[in-house]
Parts: sequence; C-alpha cells; structure tokens
Amino acid sequence: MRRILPLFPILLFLLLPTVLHAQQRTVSGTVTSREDGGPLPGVNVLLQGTSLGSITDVNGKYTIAVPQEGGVLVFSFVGFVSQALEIGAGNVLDVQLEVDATQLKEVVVTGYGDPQEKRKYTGSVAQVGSKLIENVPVATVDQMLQGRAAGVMVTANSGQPGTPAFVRIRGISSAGSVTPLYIMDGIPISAGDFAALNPNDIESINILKDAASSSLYGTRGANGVIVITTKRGQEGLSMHYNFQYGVTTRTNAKFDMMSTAQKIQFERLMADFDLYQGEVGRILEDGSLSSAEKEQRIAQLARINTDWTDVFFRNGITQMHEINASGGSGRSNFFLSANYRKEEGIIRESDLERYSLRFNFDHDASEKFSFGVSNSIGYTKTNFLPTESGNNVNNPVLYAYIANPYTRVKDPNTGEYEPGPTGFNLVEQMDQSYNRQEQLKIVSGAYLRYEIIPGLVAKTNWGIDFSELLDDFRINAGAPNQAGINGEQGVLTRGYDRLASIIGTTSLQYAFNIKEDHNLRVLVGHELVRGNNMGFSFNGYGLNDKLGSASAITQGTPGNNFIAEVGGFNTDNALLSYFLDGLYAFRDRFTVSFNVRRDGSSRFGKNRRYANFYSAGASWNLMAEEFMTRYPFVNDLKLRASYGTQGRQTGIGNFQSLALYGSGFSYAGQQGIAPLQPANPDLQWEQTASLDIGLDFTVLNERISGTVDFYHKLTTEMFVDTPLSRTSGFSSLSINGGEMRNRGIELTLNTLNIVTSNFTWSTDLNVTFNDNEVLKLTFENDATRETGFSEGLPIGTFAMVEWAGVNPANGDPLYRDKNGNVTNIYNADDAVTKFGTWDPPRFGGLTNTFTYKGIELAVFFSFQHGNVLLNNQRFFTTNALNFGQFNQSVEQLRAWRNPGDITNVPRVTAQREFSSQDLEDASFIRLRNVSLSYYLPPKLIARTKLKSVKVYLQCQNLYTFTRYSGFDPEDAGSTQLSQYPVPRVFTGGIDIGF
Amino acid sequence: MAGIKLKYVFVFCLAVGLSSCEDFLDLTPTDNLTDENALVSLDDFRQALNGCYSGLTSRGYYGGAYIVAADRMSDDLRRSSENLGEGVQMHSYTFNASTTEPAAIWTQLYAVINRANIVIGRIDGVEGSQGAKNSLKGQALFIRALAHFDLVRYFAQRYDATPDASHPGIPVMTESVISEPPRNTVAQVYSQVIQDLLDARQLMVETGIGPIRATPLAATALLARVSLYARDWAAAKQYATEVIGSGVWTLATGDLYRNIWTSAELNNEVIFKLVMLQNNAAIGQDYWSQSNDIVSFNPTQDLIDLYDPDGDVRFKSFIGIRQPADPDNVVTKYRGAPLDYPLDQKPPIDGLADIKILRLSEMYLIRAEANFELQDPTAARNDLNAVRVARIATFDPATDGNETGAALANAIMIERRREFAFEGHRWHDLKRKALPVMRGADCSATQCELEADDYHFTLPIPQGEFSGNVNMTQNPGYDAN
Repeated sequence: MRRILPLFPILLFLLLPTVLHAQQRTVSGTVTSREDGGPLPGVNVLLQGTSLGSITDVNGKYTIAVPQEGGVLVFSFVGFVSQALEIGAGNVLDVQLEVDATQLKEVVVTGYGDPQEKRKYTGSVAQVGSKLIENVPVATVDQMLQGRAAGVMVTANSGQPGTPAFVRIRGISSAGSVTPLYIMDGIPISAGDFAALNPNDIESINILKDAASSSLYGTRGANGVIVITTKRGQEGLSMHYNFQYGVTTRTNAKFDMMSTAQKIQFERLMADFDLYQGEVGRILEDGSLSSAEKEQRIAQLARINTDWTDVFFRNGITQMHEINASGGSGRSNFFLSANYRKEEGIIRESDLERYSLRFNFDHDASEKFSFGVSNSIGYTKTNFLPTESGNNVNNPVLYAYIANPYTRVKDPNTGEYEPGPTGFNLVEQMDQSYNRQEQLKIVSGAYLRYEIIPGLVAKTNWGIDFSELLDDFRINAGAPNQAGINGEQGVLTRGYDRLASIIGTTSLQYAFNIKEDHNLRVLVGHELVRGNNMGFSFNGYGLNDKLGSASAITQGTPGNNFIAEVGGFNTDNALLSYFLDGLYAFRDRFTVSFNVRRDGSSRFGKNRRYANFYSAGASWNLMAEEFMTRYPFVNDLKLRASYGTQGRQTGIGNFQSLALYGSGFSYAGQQGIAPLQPANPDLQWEQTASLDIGLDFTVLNERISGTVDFYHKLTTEMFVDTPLSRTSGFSSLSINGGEMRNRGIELTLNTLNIVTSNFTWSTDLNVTFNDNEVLKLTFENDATRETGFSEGLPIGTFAMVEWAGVNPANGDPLYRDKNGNVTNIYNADDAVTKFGTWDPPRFGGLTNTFTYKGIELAVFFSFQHGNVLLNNQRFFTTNALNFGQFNQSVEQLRAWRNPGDITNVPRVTAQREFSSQDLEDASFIRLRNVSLSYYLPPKLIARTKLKSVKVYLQCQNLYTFTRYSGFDPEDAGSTQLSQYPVPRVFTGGIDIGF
Repeated sequence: MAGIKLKYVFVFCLAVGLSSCEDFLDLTPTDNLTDENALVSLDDFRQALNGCYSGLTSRGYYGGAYIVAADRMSDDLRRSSENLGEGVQMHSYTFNASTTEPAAIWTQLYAVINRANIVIGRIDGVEGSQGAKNSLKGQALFIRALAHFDLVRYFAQRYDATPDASHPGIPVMTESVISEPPRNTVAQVYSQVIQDLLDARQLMVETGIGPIRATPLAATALLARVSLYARDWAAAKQYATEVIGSGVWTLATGDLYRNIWTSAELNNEVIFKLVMLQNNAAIGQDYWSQSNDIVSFNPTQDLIDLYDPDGDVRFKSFIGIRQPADPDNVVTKYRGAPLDYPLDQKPPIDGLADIKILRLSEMYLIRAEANFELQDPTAARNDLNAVRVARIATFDPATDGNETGAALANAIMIERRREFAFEGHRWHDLKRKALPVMRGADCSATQCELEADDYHFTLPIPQGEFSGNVNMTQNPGYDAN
C-alpha cells in the first residue's frame, strides 16, 4: 500500500504542463420538458467525467464553458431521465428531458422486499447519501450520521480512533439499550463494530423511524432501523484510486490549570490553613528544615515547569488509500474495493489501522432468475489507551492536567523516570504496557431471486455477520503500577471474543395492478436469526521481557504464585419470525399500507414466547387533486400518517427469564455454585406504539423542499429492574414495568438559495425537538445524581443539591436545602431535579453547499441545545482538601482567605461536594465538517488518459461554540469523566478515475 | 431449463424456512446452570455448599466490609493522612441508609442465607447417603445461623435493649423465597440461630477436614459466642467448656502463634476459618494497600499502648511500627507475608490471609467473662491468665494476674481487644456492653466520641431494602426524612 504513495507527486507533475494549454469555448442552450415543453429550472448540466457543471436558471437556460474540442454534456434533474449529448461544433445545445416513470433515485430501502417508490411510501424514512459519507475523516460510519438526519441523535463516546458512537432515533425510548438495528444488504450487523467497515463502500443509508417503516422488524424495530446499502456494479468499467492524508490535533481545553508559580503560590496558601499538600506543602511541613532551607528547596521546584499535556498529546497522522472498480456486462456486474486506513490518535499509544475488502456481484441468469453476493472483510489493528475514561490517575487525559507542573517525566541528568505526583509515573507506566486489539469482521451474504410469473417474485437471502476480537493487554515486569497480586513480574491478558450471527430470510412478493388505477403489492416472508457469542481469556504472570507472545508467561506453581487465570463464556439467542406486508395505491392519489409480524424469541419467558406487531399507514398525494392547480407555486405536496407497534428485545440478557446458577463461587479451590438471578417466566418484549404524521413538500419552482414530521412514541412494558427485598438473596428482578413517552417534531429543509450558470448555493437544515418523559414506573425510584430515571421527569434528569455560593464570613460552601433555605450543611437528601437532563432535547445540523464551476465547498454545522452535563473532572481540579497534592484549576487561586472575601471558591479546607455548580450547560454548535473539492478540467487531464481527477480537503471538528468549561460538551452520557477528547482533523486527498 | 429446477429450490427453501420449529427457540444456557440442572446430584449440593462458603469470603462479608466497617467505627483505627475518603463515613459516623457499607453487608449476608436455604430446603430430595446429606445440611445450617447472628448484632440494638429482647431484630429467613418479611424480634432471631446451631451439631459428621469447614465443635463454639451476646452466661460457659475440654486445640505460643497470622497459615487454635486464595478479596488492603502504597487507616496509639511491644507475641503479628520514618503505622494482621517479612517490602500476595472466625482463645475469654458474670472471679481469672500466659512472655500470673471486681472485668475487655484487634470484635463488644467509643488524642475523625447506646451503634437498614419491602421498618435515628 505504501508504495502507491509516490504516485501522487508524479501525477501532479504530469498534469502540470497541460494547464498551460487549456483553451475553452462557451456552450449555452435551453432545457425543456418533453411532456409540456415548459422550461426546466435547476437542471444539472455536467461535462461528463468532470465536475465542471452548471445549473439551468428559471427560464431553463444554461451556459457552460467547455474545452475547445467539445465533449459530452450530461443533463440531469430529479424526476427526469438523464440525457447525455455530444457537444459537436455549434455553441447552442437545446435539450428536452423526459419524465422518469420509475424515479429510481427516489426509492426507500427497508430491507424487506424490493425498494419502494418514495412517492407512494407511507412511512417516515431519513436518507443519507454516499456523498455525505465519502472521505469524511472518521473511521466509523455511525459518527458520520451526526447532524445529518432529523430525529437521529449521535454522540461520540470518545475521540479514540475507531470507537463506536451513541446513536438514538427519536429519543431515548427505553431504560435499556436504545441502539438501533443495523441492517447491511439484508444482514443484521452488530452495532459498535463499524471500525472494520469501509464507509466509502456505502451507497445509501435509510433510517427507518416510524412504525410503518420499522414494525416489520418486530422485536428489534423499536429503536429504529438503519438500513445500509452498499455500492453495486454498473455496466461498463470505472476505476478509482483515492488517497487521503492529514493531521489530527487536539482542540483547545476551555479551562486553565496552574503553572508552577501558581501551584507553589497555592500550596503556600493551603499551608496557611494547615493543609500541607504537594511537594511545597511537604517542604513547609517538614519541621527539620530551617526556613532558608525550605525556601531554597521551593526555589528548586520553581525552576521546573512541565506542560504535561505536551507529554501525552500529540499531532497524529491520518492516511487512506483506496482502489475500487465497478463494472460489468450489464447482465453480470461487480463492485470491488480495497481500502487501507491508518489513523493516529491525539494521545500517544492510540491508533487504528484498517484493511478492508469488498466484493459485490450480481448476475441475471435469465429474464426471471438472478442471484448475487455481497461480501466484506475488514481487519483492524488498534492500540487503545488501557484507561481512556474515568477520573483515575491511569487515565492520561486526566493525568495530563492534574500532574504538577513542577514534576518532570525524567531526571534530565540521569535519564531515570521521576516519581509522578501519585507515586507512579504514568509515562513510565505507558512505556511499560500496551493494550492492543485486532478485529476481523466478515459480513457476507447471498441472494437468489426468481420471478415465477410477472409480478410474483420469490427471494431468499442468507447471510452471516461474523466478528472476532483479539484483545491483548500487557504490563511488563517492573512497571510502576502493578495490576493484581502477581503483576510485579509482569502480566499478560489475552481475550478472544467471537460474534457469529446467521440470518435467513425467504419471501414471496406479488405486485399487480387492477385496471391500471389500483396498484397492489403483497409480501409474505419468514425469517430465522441465530446468534452466538463466545470467548475466552487468560491472565498469565511472570513475563519474560524479551518475548512478545503468551510464551513469555511463566508456568504457575504453588511456589512461584504465577498461577494463570483462565475464563470463558458462550451464549446463544434465536429469533423465528413470519411477516406480511401489504400496500394498496389508488392512482397516484392515495396509498394505504399494512403489515404484521410475529416474532418468537429465545430471550423471552416461557409464558411469553411470541410477540405480534402491526402497523398501518396512509399517504395522500395532494398534487393529484384538482384544487392544487390553484397553488402553482407548490410543486409537490404529500401528507403521510402511520400508526403501529414495534418491539424491543435488546436490553435484556439472552437468558434473563430463567433462574440461573453461576459457577464462579469456588471455595478453597473447589468448584462452587450459587444462584445468580431469580426466574421471571413472564419476561417479554418492550413495546413501543408510534404515531407519525408527516408532510413532504416542494415549492417555489423546486427551490424549497422539505419534510415535517410529528411523532409520538409510547413505550410500555419497559424493561426495569424492580428492587426486591434483599432477604430474598437478590437485589432486583428484571420485569416489564414502566412507561416512557417521546414526542417531537422533526423538520428538514433543503433550499436552493442562489442558482446561476456557474454558481449555486444550497442549504440543508434539519432540526429535531424531542420531549421525553418517564410516565410510569412500577416502583419508586428517586432520580440519582447520574442516572436520573424517575416518574414524571425526562430520562437523564439530574438530582443535585443546589449550590448557593460561599459564606464570606468563614469561606464555607453554601447549599440550599429542600425548602430553599441557605445552609452550610451538605445533605444528599436536599437534591432537587430542576437542573435538566443530559439527553439533548433539541439538536440538528446545517449544511451550506457552494459550487462554483468545478469547485464545491460544503460547510456543515451540527448542534445540540438544552442539556446539561456533570463536569466530574472539576471535582478533582477544584478540590484542595482531597486533591490539593495534584495540580488544580486556576480558579482555586480565588479561594476564600479572610473574613469578608467575596468569592465563589470556598476555603481550601472545606469539604468538596457535588452540587449544581458542577452541572454545566452543554449546548454547542460545532463546525463539524468542511469539505472542499475540485475536479480538474478535462482538458487538463486529456493527455493522461485519466477519466477524472478530483482533489479535495476534508476537515472535521474545526471549532465548537459552547459555554461548557470541560474538555468537550459532546458526551454520550451524563458525566464527563475525562474522556478522550474528539480530535480536530485536517485532511487532503485526491481521487483519480481511470 | 435452469428455471424449472430453481423453482424446486425455492419451494424447498420456503418449506424448510416456514416449517415452525419450537426447538429453535428453546436454548439452554451453557455458561450458567438453570433450575432444572443446577441441583440434581449430591455433588451438585456439595458445590452449592461451597457457594455458601464462598459467600462468607466475599467483600461484603468476611472478605472485607463486615469486619472492616466495625474496626473503622471503633477506637482501634484512625484515619490516615493518605486516606482519600475510603471508609470515612463509617469512621466519622456520618453514614445513613444510603451508605455503601451497611447496604453491602445487608445484601451479602442475606445472599448467603438464601444460598444456605436452597441447600437446606432441597437436599432431602436428592439421592445419596444420609450421612453425607446430613453433613451438608448441617454445614448449611451453621452458615445460616452465622449470617443471621452477624446481621442481628449489626442491624439491631443490643440484646438487652429491652428486658425480653422484644425489640426489632432482622427478618429470619428459613426458606428461599421472594417475599416482603417484617422484622422478627431480637429474641426470635437468637432463638432461630441457637436452634440452627443445635441442629447443625447433630447433623454434622466430624470429617476431619480441619478448620476450613464447619464442624460440630465450630457450632458449639459459635453457640458460646451467641450465648455471650444473649447474656446467657451459663450456656456460654457450658459451650466454651465443651470446646476447651474437647482437647482438640491448645493455646499456641511463640512462633506457633505468630505463624497463624503469616503465610504459613498454621491452624493452631483455629476452630473455624475461611480459606482465602488468590481470587478472593484481599481484606488487608482495606487497612494498608502495599500494592498502591496507601495506608487508609492506622492502628490508634491507644491500642498500640495496650501491648507490651517486646513481650506480647501479638504485637508484631498485628501492628507494624514505621514511625518516625513514615508517619503511618500499619495493620499487618492480614499481610499474608512470611514470618518477620520486612515492612518496606511488598509480600508476594498483598493483604490476603485466611479469615479466622473462631479460635480457642475466644473460648477462654468467653468463659472468663461468663464466669465473672456468674460471680466466679477465680475461674474467670484462670481463663484470662491462660490466654495472657500464652501470649505475653513476660506475664507472670502470680504477680500480674490478680485483678478483681471491675478491674477483672476491664482486664477481660482489654484482653479481648488485644486478642481480636482488627477482627471487628471491639465494636460489637462496646455495643453489647453499652460502652461508649472514646477515641484518643490521635483521633483524626470529625467525631471522636460516641456515647454509649448512641443510635449509630445500630446500623441503618439500607434504603434499597425499603424499595422492595413495604413491611420493613427503619432503626431509630435514621428515619429523619
């Protein structure tokens, strides 16, 4: 792969002379509709093989600069058949476009049956095309959905390369897992393993949000379904080489830690209160030193000023090479791609390498019979920080800020590691340890399709989702912070985790018309899913430093105590389903849809094995009505409504309904068993009843189009752990109890703001307002500090004691009690729930796209509003009493000293408690992505025999507007625990077609 | 041509696919056992009994919280300067119904009781020799009694808080069931504990597997302790005498004693102990984690001063003096190190040692106390001196062991404190004797004294219990909200 690298400069060199010889002429003309002869505004005019293009104005006229010798112009417009015309000698080229009856681009892919016409579709589906995914400098596709689709909320868990994001569709609608179901080419794939899939292979993503679209997924549909369709071959041959290279850097922290001078000053301040913390504190406390000796030692410390963030953070390099080929005879088509990606994280010892291959193939054996395969293999190698989150001293993200600036990594004279502020030096620890993962992921499927009689199609699709993960964690002998009892001589932990899921879907679809006016489509089907997850792991001790594998382990004996530990697991689940999907359309005016699914799941209790789901939907195309002719500015108007039920089975374990005994209870070296959980034979699926009312519109000569959806989702039979009397031997029982509601409005707006012959500006906006409330719980549950979950409040509501400032008289922290009175006594029972939730109630994305000749600039912002986060790291950085030995935030210098001081920082000796001062507004607007691309003019590349050359820039997370004072307001949970910050990425690339 | 054959392929696929197969959904877990296959053979019950013992070793019970919380509340420990907050709520008596330790203890002890009840309730239905079944059942009864007793001494007021012990105890659980039981009275709890121990004695066969499993004599020893708490002095004396008189154990001296506490794990004097292996909780780290180089609690100076540092064999075994080099003295009782292992070196296994639950010395001291209460000071002195002679090389009973009256009672208390330091006894002794906690000058807690019979002597019923049990009532002092 690396050998391809030099190609880039060589190509540039080859291309350079041709620039000087490019000569151009201008072609113009009018584009009209063949149907009525009217002018067509907004038609794309493109010089084939380039992105040199133009768009017709309101009168259907266009002008485009083309090379002297001409070329081929392609005219394309939504709803019309594209046309390609040779330019010839003349300078005028008028075109008539034909209405496209099939409207191929406007289809909805739901994963069951053939793609359906969007015009007649009754459900609510958000679509994200390949253009928004291609070359985004992020390893996983789930993160790329952020801000791209209304109703879809995505937050990154971590900036560590390859980590999965937290995705929820139309709010958090369960107390358990809300991870959507991912379907790729008809095969359910595990969420969270996206690092091994190449996003550039994706053609489109359909996000099924309402009941009409997702209730066909039965017990797996309630979290929404993300249907991924990968690229397939087109007739002919087109090959691309794509190279991308860039840098990842850290964003700026929004808080300041103390410098050496400030920390020394602060430790003196603490000492004034008899709080001797840190090196200076220790010197000042030492009674055996004279004051001159003390000052001399402090002066020595003052000479050191280490910026620990520079020690751990770095600028990483990202690069990607990709070759793909698409082609075929028309009867047999293929798509092939090979991708290599390497991404270095912004913290040392974190990176990701991916190798992926895809092969999709379709063959029409006869008019009636076709078959095909979809295959992808991905292999990743990842270096992970062993601890990347959590407020503990093993986490570099925290350590970088709380390490005292007057400590050093190494003694400059001896080169030896110096002891860190916590008794061990994390740099040494990281040098002496690693955490690596290798993952192999295969998604492979095959289908047969047979048209028995015209309109009656039988199809069977079988696939496997396979992934195996090898985890390798090692701490060398002699590393400073030992893990476990025998770790002193080194410990090696290896874990193997394999997921294998097999799916088979067989269906019969009949589509027919009665008297032209009545279109019907019926689909019946059957599905089997069988999943297995197994793994094992071992810990070995007594490592030989020179050996890298498990052979480094010393065999354990009772004498040397290097007894290795082994473990393993194996668990299965199965799903057996039948479904029926029907659709009736009357002319182009009305559509009614209906579907039912019966799901049997091995997870449910004996008494509740089968679940039934249904949905009904209707749409009304108002444009087919006579009265709409009175509103000529309306180009398209469709009203949709759907209602139905969806189920959820994620969130309970595979054998949650059974009374289980575990074997991990040995005594004196002999195996022992003990009960793990009580039985609940009535455990069943969660059910979500969803109502959706939507409007799709296009107005003002197709300049403005959009969608508005109102939804109301009621989850009942929610999985909750109901507390038991501990006298039963158990703390809780998994039951179905509780109700939760999400309702909201989604708005998507696409506008063409400026359209001239060589400049266009378009805007895409989506906004979601979601309102969540836990309606009912079968038991009393107080909202707790971090995981608010109580009746009558939105999920994620914090319960916190209200902060009331600092008493100027004595520097005590003040709080408000339940009655609102100011008190200096902290009592957790005074917590109130008025500070909000961590789940953003409002979010969206805004993209502005500008094209000028061959240049396209897209500026994409994503935003969220109205949520709060618990800034947990502030508890450590503003806590002199307990953590004054570590570096502190500069705000601590404003601590109360003398009676009468007005400040909001308490006396250094005051006990630090969590209170509302640690909850911060986490609203933000983030310049998420800027992409700039340019197709070199064809004239320029004519002599190189290349079809096209595109150069591009892709930048991610450029700037964030927020009031939040921690690392990053984007957090997939309630509490900021010094997570790996999301990096800022700058990349450039070139895509060569040949 | 191909088309016709393919039709059959589809018909076949549909047929295979659509054929409903119930078995497809009936999956059996391979990682865990189910109600159907967990307890079938006698050997399964052996494993279930191991599960009970394993419960005793857990962090919420003798592997940690149960012992450590009592010590932290007592006057034997002070908060070290390195302590980042661990155990401070217990130490400063700022705990409430939401505090971790009472919840962990309550939950874990009832989990052990449930495990024992499963064995007791179902073993009669299994095939096997009656003797083996009796032995397993007897051990389960012993464990059930121990857990009930350990719960009632923490979560109820002392036995004599009411004349007939009719004040609230804890729910007595004699079967494995999900229910919402109210609290039994303290008298009822003790009655069940004693009955279980008497039954256990009858059922258990002396197997000679040593002190790591319950034996009839272990049950007798526990009966002695329970009787002491119930102030049934005659019974306490009788049971203690039975154990002492069995002749199985003699009081150990010198290195034979010290090696009870080292990695040698000698079983001298040990009537019942829990084996702690590498995967078990390292209780010693709750006092002093050498792995992390953190001392969370130091022995108090008052306690240190009680020992003769040279003559008392216990001193070196229990306490490490590091001053003045290091401001923190350390608890070494659970260090699990070889004899005379240097303090500044981390032992191969840090903080892990077998938990000794019943020892012969306790029988002597129980009998001493019972004899004293039975107005037999001579017998009391004899028992007390037997322990002192064994432990303190410089002790001469003729000159040093002649206390009478209150001094004798006090000497017994001091000896219990010295003998059982860091084993949780001190707290429960103060409570049952209605004595206050009076911490010394080195106290670093926010509260250094606790009046006798202060409500904090009784732990709060954890909040979680109330979420699942409407019949539960809170102990006085904690239901302020």
